[in-house]
Amino acid sequence: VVHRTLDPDFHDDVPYTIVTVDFDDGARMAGRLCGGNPQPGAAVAVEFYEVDGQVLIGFRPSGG
Amino acid sequence: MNRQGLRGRSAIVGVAESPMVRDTERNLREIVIGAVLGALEDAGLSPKDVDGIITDDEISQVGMTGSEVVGALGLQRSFMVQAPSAGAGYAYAPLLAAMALEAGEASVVLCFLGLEFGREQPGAATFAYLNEGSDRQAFEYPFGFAGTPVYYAMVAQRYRALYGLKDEQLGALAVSIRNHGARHPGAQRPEPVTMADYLASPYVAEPLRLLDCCLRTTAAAAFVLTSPDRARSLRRPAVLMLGAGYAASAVSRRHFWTQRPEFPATMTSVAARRAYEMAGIGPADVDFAELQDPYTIAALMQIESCGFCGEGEAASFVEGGQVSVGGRLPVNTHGGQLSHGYMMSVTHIVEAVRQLRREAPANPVNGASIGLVSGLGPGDCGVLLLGRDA
Repeated sequence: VVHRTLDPDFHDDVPYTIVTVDFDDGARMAGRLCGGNPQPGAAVAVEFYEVDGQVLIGFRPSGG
Repeated sequence: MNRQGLRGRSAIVGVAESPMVRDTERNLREIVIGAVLGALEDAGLSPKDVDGIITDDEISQVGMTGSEVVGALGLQRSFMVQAPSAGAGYAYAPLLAAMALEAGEASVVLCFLGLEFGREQPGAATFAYLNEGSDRQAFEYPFGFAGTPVYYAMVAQRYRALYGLKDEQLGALAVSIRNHGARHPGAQRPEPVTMADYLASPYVAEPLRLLDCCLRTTAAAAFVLTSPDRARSLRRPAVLMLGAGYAASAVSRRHFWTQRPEFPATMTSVAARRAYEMAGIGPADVDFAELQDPYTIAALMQIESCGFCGEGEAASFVEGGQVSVGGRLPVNTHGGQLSHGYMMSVTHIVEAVRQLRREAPANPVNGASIGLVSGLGPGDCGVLLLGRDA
Protein backbone atom coordinates (compact mmCIF):
# COMPACT_ATOMS: atom_id res chain seq x y z
CA VAL A 1 0.00 0.00 0.00
CA VAL A 2 1.58 3.26 -1.14
CA HIS A 3 0.91 6.18 1.20
CA ARG A 4 3.31 8.83 -0.06
CA THR A 5 4.75 9.42 -3.49
CA LEU A 6 7.34 11.79 -4.89
CA ASP A 7 5.70 11.48 -8.27
CA PRO A 8 3.01 14.10 -9.02
CA ASP A 9 1.25 11.65 -11.37
CA PHE A 10 0.13 9.62 -8.35
CA HIS A 11 -0.44 12.32 -5.74
CA ASP A 12 -4.21 12.05 -6.13
CA ASP A 13 -4.19 8.25 -5.95
CA VAL A 14 -2.67 7.61 -2.51
CA PRO A 15 -3.28 5.43 -0.68
CA TYR A 16 -3.26 2.77 -3.39
CA THR A 17 -2.14 -0.86 -3.56
CA ILE A 18 0.21 -2.48 -6.07
CA VAL A 19 0.30 -6.24 -6.55
CA THR A 20 2.61 -8.51 -8.50
CA VAL A 21 0.62 -11.21 -10.27
CA ASP A 22 2.01 -14.51 -11.53
CA PHE A 23 -0.01 -15.76 -14.50
CA ASP A 24 -0.80 -19.44 -14.88
CA ASP A 25 1.40 -19.59 -17.99
CA GLY A 26 4.44 -18.19 -16.16
CA ALA A 27 4.46 -14.46 -16.88
CA ARG A 28 4.55 -11.94 -14.04
CA MET A 29 3.31 -8.40 -14.04
CA ALA A 30 2.75 -5.53 -11.66
CA GLY A 31 -0.60 -3.80 -11.49
CA ARG A 32 -3.04 -1.80 -9.43
CA LEU A 33 -5.32 -3.62 -7.00
CA CYS A 34 -8.81 -2.39 -7.90
CA GLY A 35 -10.53 -3.76 -4.81
CA GLY A 36 -10.54 -6.44 -2.13
CA ASN A 37 -7.76 -7.46 0.21
CA PRO A 38 -6.22 -10.65 -1.20
CA GLN A 39 -3.72 -12.66 0.82
CA PRO A 40 -0.39 -13.61 -0.80
CA GLY A 41 -0.99 -16.45 -3.23
CA ALA A 42 -4.72 -15.73 -3.69
CA ALA A 43 -6.24 -15.91 -7.18
CA VAL A 44 -7.04 -12.61 -8.89
CA ALA A 45 -8.72 -11.65 -12.16
CA VAL A 46 -7.95 -8.81 -14.55
CA GLU A 47 -10.07 -5.69 -14.24
CA PHE A 48 -9.55 -2.71 -16.51
CA TYR A 49 -9.60 0.84 -15.23
CA GLU A 50 -9.34 4.19 -16.92
CA VAL A 51 -7.04 7.15 -16.20
CA ASP A 52 -7.38 10.27 -18.38
CA GLY A 53 -8.92 8.26 -21.19
CA GLN A 54 -6.23 5.56 -21.07
CA VAL A 55 -7.29 2.01 -20.19
CA LEU A 56 -4.94 0.27 -17.74
CA ILE A 57 -4.81 -3.25 -16.37
CA GLY A 58 -5.67 -3.81 -12.73
CA PHE A 59 -6.58 -6.79 -10.61
CA ARG A 60 -9.28 -7.86 -8.14
CA PRO A 61 -9.64 -11.11 -6.18
CA SER A 62 -11.51 -13.57 -8.40
CA GLY A 63 -14.89 -14.70 -7.11
CA GLY A 64 -14.81 -11.86 -4.58
CA MET B 1 46.91 -15.43 -12.12
CA ASN B 2 43.77 -16.94 -10.62
CA ARG B 3 41.22 -15.00 -8.58
CA GLN B 4 42.72 -16.02 -5.25
CA GLY B 5 46.01 -14.52 -6.39
CA LEU B 6 44.42 -11.07 -6.28
CA ARG B 7 43.80 -11.33 -2.54
CA GLY B 8 45.50 -8.39 -0.85
CA ARG B 9 46.79 -6.94 -4.15
CA SER B 10 45.28 -3.50 -3.66
CA ALA B 11 45.17 -1.30 -0.59
CA ILE B 12 43.00 1.68 0.27
CA VAL B 13 45.43 4.36 1.43
CA GLY B 14 43.32 7.51 1.52
CA VAL B 15 39.68 8.34 2.24
CA ALA B 16 37.64 11.53 2.55
CA GLU B 17 34.06 12.70 2.56
CA SER B 18 32.48 16.14 2.43
CA PRO B 19 29.87 17.22 4.99
CA MET B 20 26.67 15.26 4.39
CA VAL B 21 23.85 17.75 3.82
CA ARG B 22 20.48 17.78 2.10
CA ASP B 23 21.42 20.83 0.07
CA THR B 24 24.02 23.57 0.13
CA GLU B 25 24.92 26.82 -1.56
CA ARG B 26 28.20 25.25 -2.63
CA ASN B 27 28.72 24.05 -6.18
CA LEU B 28 28.88 20.26 -6.47
CA ARG B 29 32.11 20.43 -8.49
CA GLU B 30 33.81 22.22 -5.62
CA ILE B 31 32.51 19.56 -3.21
CA VAL B 32 33.74 16.69 -5.41
CA ILE B 33 37.18 18.23 -5.93
CA GLY B 34 37.41 18.83 -2.17
CA ALA B 35 36.71 15.16 -1.43
CA VAL B 36 39.19 13.96 -4.08
CA LEU B 37 41.95 16.24 -2.79
CA GLY B 38 41.06 15.23 0.76
CA ALA B 39 41.49 11.53 -0.01
CA LEU B 40 44.83 12.20 -1.73
CA GLU B 41 46.03 14.30 1.19
CA ASP B 42 44.96 11.57 3.63
CA ALA B 43 47.14 9.17 1.62
CA GLY B 44 50.05 11.61 1.43
CA LEU B 45 49.74 11.67 -2.37
CA SER B 46 49.10 14.45 -4.87
CA PRO B 47 47.04 14.68 -8.08
CA LYS B 48 50.18 14.07 -10.16
CA ASP B 49 50.49 10.60 -8.60
CA VAL B 50 47.09 9.49 -9.94
CA ASP B 51 47.10 7.46 -13.15
CA GLY B 52 43.90 5.45 -12.82
CA ILE B 53 40.24 6.34 -12.28
CA ILE B 54 37.26 4.13 -11.53
CA THR B 55 33.90 5.85 -11.27
CA ASP B 56 30.26 5.50 -12.22
CA ASP B 57 29.16 8.12 -14.69
CA GLU B 58 25.71 6.59 -15.11
CA ILE B 59 24.63 7.65 -11.64
CA SER B 60 26.87 10.72 -11.81
CA GLN B 61 24.71 12.23 -14.54
CA VAL B 62 23.58 14.39 -11.65
CA GLY B 63 27.10 14.71 -10.24
CA MET B 64 30.53 15.10 -11.76
CA THR B 65 31.89 12.60 -14.28
CA GLY B 66 35.35 11.03 -14.22
CA SER B 67 36.52 13.01 -17.22
CA GLU B 68 35.35 16.27 -15.64
CA VAL B 69 37.51 15.54 -12.59
CA VAL B 70 40.40 14.69 -14.89
CA GLY B 71 40.00 18.07 -16.54
CA ALA B 72 39.60 19.99 -13.30
CA LEU B 73 42.74 18.52 -11.73
CA GLY B 74 44.78 18.02 -14.90
CA LEU B 75 45.18 14.30 -14.17
CA GLN B 76 47.26 12.03 -16.35
CA ARG B 77 45.86 8.57 -16.61
CA SER B 78 46.65 5.26 -18.25
CA PHE B 79 43.65 3.43 -16.81
CA MET B 80 40.05 4.66 -16.71
CA VAL B 81 36.97 2.48 -16.37
CA GLN B 82 33.30 2.72 -15.60
CA ALA B 83 32.42 0.53 -12.62
CA PRO B 84 29.19 -1.45 -12.94
CA SER B 85 26.22 0.40 -11.53
CA ALA B 86 26.54 2.60 -8.53
CA GLY B 87 27.03 1.05 -5.11
CA ALA B 88 27.74 -2.37 -6.56
CA GLY B 89 30.52 -0.94 -8.68
CA TYR B 90 32.20 1.01 -5.90
CA ALA B 91 32.27 -2.12 -3.72
CA TYR B 92 33.88 -3.96 -6.65
CA ALA B 93 36.27 -1.10 -7.54
CA PRO B 94 39.12 -2.26 -5.22
CA LEU B 95 39.24 -5.54 -7.15
CA LEU B 96 39.27 -3.70 -10.50
CA ALA B 97 42.09 -1.60 -9.05
CA ALA B 98 44.00 -4.73 -8.00
CA MET B 99 43.77 -6.08 -11.57
CA ALA B 100 45.04 -2.79 -12.99
CA LEU B 101 47.85 -2.56 -10.42
CA GLU B 102 48.97 -6.17 -10.98
CA ALA B 103 48.93 -5.71 -14.75
CA GLY B 104 50.96 -2.50 -14.51
CA GLU B 105 48.16 -0.45 -16.05
CA ALA B 106 48.01 1.93 -13.10
CA SER B 107 49.96 2.68 -9.93
CA VAL B 108 47.50 4.92 -8.02
CA VAL B 109 43.76 4.58 -8.60
CA LEU B 110 41.18 7.18 -7.60
CA CYS B 111 37.49 6.42 -6.96
CA PHE B 112 34.97 9.13 -6.16
CA LEU B 113 31.26 9.92 -6.18
CA GLY B 114 29.42 13.20 -6.01
CA LEU B 115 25.63 13.42 -5.86
CA GLU B 116 23.14 16.23 -5.59
CA PHE B 117 20.09 14.11 -4.83
CA GLY B 118 19.01 16.55 -2.14
CA ARG B 119 18.46 19.29 -4.70
CA GLU B 120 14.98 19.56 -6.07
CA GLN B 121 15.29 18.56 -9.69
CA PRO B 122 13.10 16.37 -11.85
CA GLY B 123 13.56 12.68 -11.19
CA ALA B 124 16.79 12.82 -9.23
CA ALA B 125 15.47 11.13 -6.13
CA THR B 126 13.53 8.47 -8.02
CA PHE B 127 16.20 7.67 -10.63
CA ALA B 128 13.62 8.60 -13.27
CA TYR B 129 16.45 9.69 -15.57
CA LEU B 130 17.56 6.05 -15.76
CA ASN B 131 14.09 4.94 -16.85
CA GLU B 132 13.52 7.15 -19.90
CA GLY B 133 12.14 5.05 -22.71
CA SER B 134 12.48 1.80 -20.78
CA ASP B 135 10.00 -1.07 -20.60
CA ARG B 136 9.75 -0.28 -16.90
CA GLN B 137 8.14 2.98 -17.92
CA ALA B 138 5.62 1.09 -20.05
CA PHE B 139 4.84 -1.93 -17.88
CA GLU B 140 5.42 -0.87 -14.27
CA TYR B 141 5.18 2.91 -13.99
CA PRO B 142 1.60 3.48 -15.27
CA PHE B 143 0.08 1.54 -12.35
CA GLY B 144 2.01 3.52 -9.77
CA PHE B 145 4.71 0.87 -9.35
CA ALA B 146 7.27 3.63 -9.46
CA GLY B 147 10.04 4.90 -7.22
CA THR B 148 12.39 2.96 -5.01
CA PRO B 149 10.25 3.01 -1.82
CA VAL B 150 7.52 1.20 -3.74
CA TYR B 151 9.96 -1.35 -5.19
CA TYR B 152 11.49 -2.14 -1.81
CA ALA B 153 8.06 -2.23 -0.14
CA MET B 154 7.13 -5.00 -2.55
CA VAL B 155 10.35 -6.84 -1.65
CA ALA B 156 9.50 -6.48 2.05
CA GLN B 157 5.94 -7.72 1.51
CA ARG B 158 7.25 -10.74 -0.35
CA TYR B 159 9.83 -11.41 2.37
CA ARG B 160 7.05 -11.12 4.98
CA ALA B 161 4.86 -13.60 3.11
CA LEU B 162 7.70 -16.11 2.74
CA TYR B 163 9.39 -15.90 6.14
CA GLY B 164 7.42 -13.60 8.43
CA LEU B 165 8.57 -10.07 9.24
CA LYS B 166 7.29 -7.97 12.13
CA ASP B 167 7.21 -4.18 12.05
CA GLU B 168 9.34 -4.27 15.23
CA GLN B 169 12.03 -6.28 13.41
CA LEU B 170 12.44 -3.70 10.65
CA GLY B 171 12.26 -1.18 13.48
CA ALA B 172 15.08 -2.86 15.41
CA LEU B 173 17.35 -2.51 12.39
CA ALA B 174 16.31 1.13 11.79
CA VAL B 175 16.93 1.98 15.46
CA SER B 176 20.37 0.29 15.52
CA ILE B 177 21.59 1.98 12.33
CA ARG B 178 20.12 5.40 13.09
CA ASN B 179 21.55 5.43 16.62
CA HIS B 180 24.99 4.70 15.17
CA GLY B 181 24.43 7.80 13.04
CA ALA B 182 23.28 9.76 16.08
CA ARG B 183 26.71 9.29 17.66
CA HIS B 184 28.69 9.97 14.46
CA PRO B 185 29.99 13.53 13.96
CA GLY B 186 29.60 13.32 10.18
CA ALA B 187 25.96 12.21 10.04
CA GLN B 188 23.41 14.24 8.09
CA ARG B 189 20.56 13.34 10.48
CA PRO B 190 22.03 12.72 13.95
CA GLU B 191 18.72 12.52 15.85
CA PRO B 192 18.53 9.47 18.13
CA VAL B 193 15.55 7.20 17.41
CA THR B 194 13.57 4.89 19.73
CA MET B 195 11.28 2.01 18.81
CA ALA B 196 8.34 4.23 19.79
CA ASP B 197 9.57 6.88 17.35
CA TYR B 198 9.87 4.22 14.69
CA LEU B 199 6.37 2.83 15.21
CA ALA B 200 4.94 6.38 15.19
CA SER B 201 6.69 7.16 11.90
CA PRO B 202 4.23 7.33 8.97
CA TYR B 203 4.09 4.69 6.26
CA VAL B 204 5.59 5.62 2.90
CA ALA B 205 4.77 2.31 1.24
CA GLU B 206 3.77 -0.50 3.63
CA PRO B 207 5.53 -1.97 5.49
CA LEU B 208 8.18 0.72 5.00
CA ARG B 209 7.88 3.82 7.14
CA LEU B 210 9.64 7.14 6.79
CA LEU B 211 12.34 5.91 9.22
CA ASP B 212 12.98 2.85 6.99
CA CYS B 213 13.99 5.13 4.12
CA CYS B 214 17.32 6.62 3.11
CA LEU B 215 18.13 10.30 3.10
CA ARG B 216 18.52 12.58 0.11
CA THR B 217 22.01 14.02 0.13
CA THR B 218 24.17 16.55 -1.67
CA ALA B 219 27.79 15.59 -0.96
CA ALA B 220 30.86 13.75 -2.24
CA ALA B 221 33.23 11.05 -1.03
CA ALA B 222 36.42 9.54 -2.41
CA PHE B 223 39.02 6.86 -1.82
CA VAL B 224 42.46 6.15 -3.25
CA LEU B 225 44.14 2.79 -3.86
CA THR B 226 47.65 1.62 -4.59
CA SER B 227 49.70 -1.57 -4.38
CA PRO B 228 50.23 -3.11 -0.94
CA ASP B 229 53.99 -2.51 -1.18
CA ARG B 230 53.62 1.18 -1.93
CA ALA B 231 50.85 1.44 0.66
CA ARG B 232 53.28 0.37 3.38
CA SER B 233 55.55 3.31 2.53
CA LEU B 234 52.72 5.84 2.92
CA ARG B 235 51.64 7.71 6.01
CA ARG B 236 48.45 5.85 6.99
CA PRO B 237 47.88 2.20 7.96
CA ALA B 238 47.10 0.26 4.77
CA VAL B 239 43.71 -1.42 4.46
CA LEU B 240 43.88 -4.38 2.11
CA MET B 241 41.30 -5.63 -0.38
CA LEU B 242 41.02 -9.26 0.74
CA GLY B 243 38.32 -10.23 -1.73
CA ALA B 244 35.48 -8.86 -3.79
CA GLY B 245 32.70 -10.14 -5.97
CA TYR B 246 30.13 -8.75 -8.38
CA ALA B 247 26.97 -10.36 -9.71
CA ALA B 248 23.89 -9.04 -11.46
CA SER B 249 20.41 -10.18 -12.40
CA ALA B 250 19.84 -11.54 -15.88
CA VAL B 251 17.54 -8.57 -16.52
CA SER B 252 18.49 -5.12 -17.77
CA ARG B 253 18.70 -2.82 -14.80
CA ARG B 254 16.84 -0.14 -16.75
CA HIS B 255 13.95 -2.26 -17.77
CA PHE B 256 12.16 -4.20 -15.05
CA TRP B 257 12.04 -4.51 -11.33
CA THR B 258 9.48 -7.32 -11.20
CA GLN B 259 11.00 -9.68 -13.76
CA ARG B 260 14.07 -10.84 -11.90
CA PRO B 261 14.01 -14.61 -11.52
CA GLU B 262 15.47 -14.41 -8.00
CA PHE B 263 12.84 -11.88 -6.79
CA PRO B 264 12.65 -10.89 -3.96
CA ALA B 265 16.23 -12.03 -3.27
CA THR B 266 19.17 -10.36 -4.99
CA MET B 267 22.44 -11.57 -6.47
CA THR B 268 24.29 -10.44 -3.34
CA SER B 269 24.67 -14.08 -2.23
CA VAL B 270 26.61 -14.84 -5.43
CA ALA B 271 28.80 -11.74 -5.06
CA ALA B 272 29.44 -12.62 -1.40
CA ARG B 273 30.45 -16.19 -2.23
CA ARG B 274 32.96 -14.91 -4.78
CA ALA B 275 34.37 -12.42 -2.28
CA TYR B 276 34.72 -15.03 0.49
CA GLU B 277 36.35 -17.51 -1.94
CA MET B 278 38.96 -14.95 -2.97
CA ALA B 279 39.67 -13.97 0.62
CA GLY B 280 39.75 -17.55 1.87
CA ILE B 281 37.52 -16.67 4.80
CA GLY B 282 33.86 -17.03 5.79
CA PRO B 283 31.14 -14.91 7.37
CA ALA B 284 32.25 -15.90 10.90
CA ASP B 285 35.57 -14.11 10.30
CA VAL B 286 33.89 -10.74 9.65
CA ASP B 287 33.92 -8.27 12.56
CA PHE B 288 31.47 -5.68 11.17
CA ALA B 289 29.42 -4.99 8.04
CA GLU B 290 28.68 -1.75 6.18
CA LEU B 291 25.69 -2.67 4.00
CA GLN B 292 24.20 -0.34 1.43
CA ASP B 293 20.86 0.48 3.00
CA PRO B 294 18.54 2.49 0.78
CA TYR B 295 15.81 0.85 2.87
CA THR B 296 16.01 -1.26 6.02
CA ILE B 297 14.71 -4.28 4.12
CA ALA B 298 17.67 -4.07 1.72
CA ALA B 299 20.17 -4.21 4.59
CA LEU B 300 18.18 -6.94 6.31
CA MET B 301 18.23 -9.15 3.23
CA GLN B 302 21.93 -8.55 2.64
CA ILE B 303 22.64 -9.80 6.18
CA GLU B 304 21.41 -13.21 5.12
CA SER B 305 22.76 -12.97 1.55
CA CYS B 306 26.23 -12.38 3.01
CA GLY B 307 25.86 -15.54 5.07
CA PHE B 308 25.64 -14.01 8.55
CA CYS B 309 22.50 -16.09 9.13
CA GLY B 310 20.35 -18.55 7.21
CA GLU B 311 17.61 -17.80 4.68
CA GLY B 312 14.65 -16.18 6.39
CA GLU B 313 16.56 -15.70 9.66
CA ALA B 314 17.66 -12.07 9.29
CA ALA B 315 14.45 -10.69 10.77
CA SER B 316 15.28 -12.24 14.14
CA PHE B 317 19.05 -11.70 13.70
CA VAL B 318 18.63 -7.91 13.90
CA GLU B 319 16.64 -7.96 17.16
CA GLY B 320 17.99 -7.24 20.63
CA GLY B 321 20.84 -4.95 19.63
CA GLN B 322 22.73 -7.72 17.85
CA VAL B 323 23.58 -5.38 14.95
CA SER B 324 24.56 -2.46 17.19
CA VAL B 325 28.18 -1.82 18.18
CA GLY B 326 28.89 -4.28 21.00
CA GLY B 327 26.50 -6.82 19.45
CA ARG B 328 27.18 -9.93 17.41
CA LEU B 329 27.64 -8.11 14.06
CA PRO B 330 27.69 -4.29 14.13
CA VAL B 331 25.99 -3.04 10.94
CA ASN B 332 26.43 0.43 9.43
CA THR B 333 28.53 1.90 12.22
CA HIS B 334 28.36 5.38 10.63
CA GLY B 335 24.57 5.43 10.33
CA GLY B 336 24.39 4.19 6.74
CA GLN B 337 22.13 5.78 4.17
CA LEU B 338 19.42 6.05 6.81
CA SER B 339 21.14 8.74 8.87
CA HIS B 340 24.73 9.30 7.69
CA GLY B 341 24.07 10.24 4.06
CA TYR B 342 23.20 8.84 0.65
CA MET B 343 26.50 8.20 -1.13
CA MET B 344 25.77 4.73 -2.57
CA SER B 345 28.40 2.49 -0.92
CA VAL B 346 31.23 5.04 -0.91
CA THR B 347 30.81 6.39 2.63
CA HIS B 348 30.35 2.77 3.73
CA ILE B 349 33.85 2.11 2.34
CA VAL B 350 35.23 5.25 4.01
CA GLU B 351 33.76 4.11 7.34
CA ALA B 352 35.11 0.54 6.98
CA VAL B 353 38.60 1.91 6.30
CA ARG B 354 38.44 4.16 9.37
CA GLN B 355 37.25 1.25 11.52
CA LEU B 356 40.10 -0.95 10.32
CA ARG B 357 42.66 1.81 10.90
CA ARG B 358 41.20 1.98 14.45
CA GLU B 359 40.41 5.67 13.94
CA ALA B 360 36.63 5.59 13.61
CA PRO B 361 35.27 8.95 14.81
CA ALA B 362 32.50 7.12 16.72
CA ASN B 363 31.20 3.62 17.40
CA PRO B 364 34.56 1.82 17.29
CA VAL B 365 34.34 -1.93 16.80
CA ASN B 366 36.98 -3.08 19.28
CA GLY B 367 39.74 -5.18 17.78
CA ALA B 368 38.16 -5.18 14.31
CA SER B 369 40.45 -6.67 11.68
CA ILE B 370 38.03 -7.63 8.87
CA GLY B 371 35.05 -5.67 7.58
CA LEU B 372 32.52 -6.36 4.82
CA VAL B 373 31.03 -3.68 2.56
CA SER B 374 28.12 -4.33 0.24
CA GLY B 375 26.84 -2.21 -2.61
CA LEU B 376 23.59 -2.36 -4.53
CA GLY B 377 22.63 -1.06 -7.91
CA PRO B 378 19.33 -1.68 -9.66
CA GLY B 379 19.86 -5.45 -10.03
CA ASP B 380 23.62 -5.24 -9.52
CA CYS B 381 25.31 -6.43 -6.35
CA GLY B 382 28.85 -6.04 -5.08
CA VAL B 383 30.56 -7.35 -1.96
CA LEU B 384 33.96 -6.22 -0.69
CA LEU B 385 36.06 -7.67 2.13
CA LEU B 386 38.62 -5.33 3.65
CA GLY B 387 41.30 -6.27 6.16
CA ARG B 388 43.69 -4.49 8.43
CA ASP B 389 47.25 -5.02 7.18
CA ALA B 390 48.87 -7.54 9.53
